[in-house]
Amino acid sequence: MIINARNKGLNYVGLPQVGEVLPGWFQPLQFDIITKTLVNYEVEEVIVPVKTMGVRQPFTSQKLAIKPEGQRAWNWETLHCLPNVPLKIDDKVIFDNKTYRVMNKWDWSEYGYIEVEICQGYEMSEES
Amino acid sequence: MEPIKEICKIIQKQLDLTDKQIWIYNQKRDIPNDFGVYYVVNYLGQRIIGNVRKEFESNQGLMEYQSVHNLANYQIDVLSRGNGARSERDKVIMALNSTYSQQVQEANGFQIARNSFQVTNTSEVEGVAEISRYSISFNVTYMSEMTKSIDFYDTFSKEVITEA
Repeated sequence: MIINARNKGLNYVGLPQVGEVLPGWFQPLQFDIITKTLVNYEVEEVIVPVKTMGVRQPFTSQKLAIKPEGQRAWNWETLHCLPNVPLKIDDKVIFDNKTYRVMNKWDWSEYGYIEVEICQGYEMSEES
Repeated sequence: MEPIKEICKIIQKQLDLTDKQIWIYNQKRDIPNDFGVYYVVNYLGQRIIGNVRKEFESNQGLMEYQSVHNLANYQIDVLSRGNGARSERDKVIMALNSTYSQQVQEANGFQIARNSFQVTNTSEVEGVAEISRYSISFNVTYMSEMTKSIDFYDTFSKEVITEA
């Protein structure tokens, strides 16, 4: 009996487990995650340092074009990293003293990685 | 003592809430997307009903005591993605008039006005679901005070011109 693609049906999505090969593309990444918690009825931000493997990429022009107008000028990046990073939407991450907010997350842990979209936050001048 | 934190404490104890179910209004806190009932306590404003200043002598010199007596307006939003908030809203009013509430008020020197409650249905469509939300506003009287050292008249320099 021959089993081929016909047996899998039309709704079959075959994303392979890429966790073993991704480290070849990834490089060591170190950043801080700022998560919000409630302490004594008030929101507090806690900074957790994270070490993982991953890669940061700028958005392609096609991806930028579908973002809401007015947000196009902001610095958007895509971050691929190992699934051990506890990132959630609306968390903030700090790369090289620049703060980014997690705007979207695709959890492909079954396939060995997660993909998140981050957007650089507004930079204020420090008070002298 | 901050009345808003004491109000949170009363609601949490009486309604047996977890730490994540009640918070002081803050734009940085998103509404969780599950079907639980959540409580957000907010300060709306205040009217000053007394503004007092007194001077008194102490070991550290002349001191000034000031107190402000307030009639403040607070609001508790009871919200849920399902209908939980609808059945829970009256319990908030009962919690604020409970024996425990009375004890907290007496221990901290503030008073929740028993007949000032106004409940407004502020439910609205939010995304693909409707958030059930009931806003309960009420009055609280409390006092803030401050003591500080002040200048005495003999520390001022003054030039006096006489005819002699």
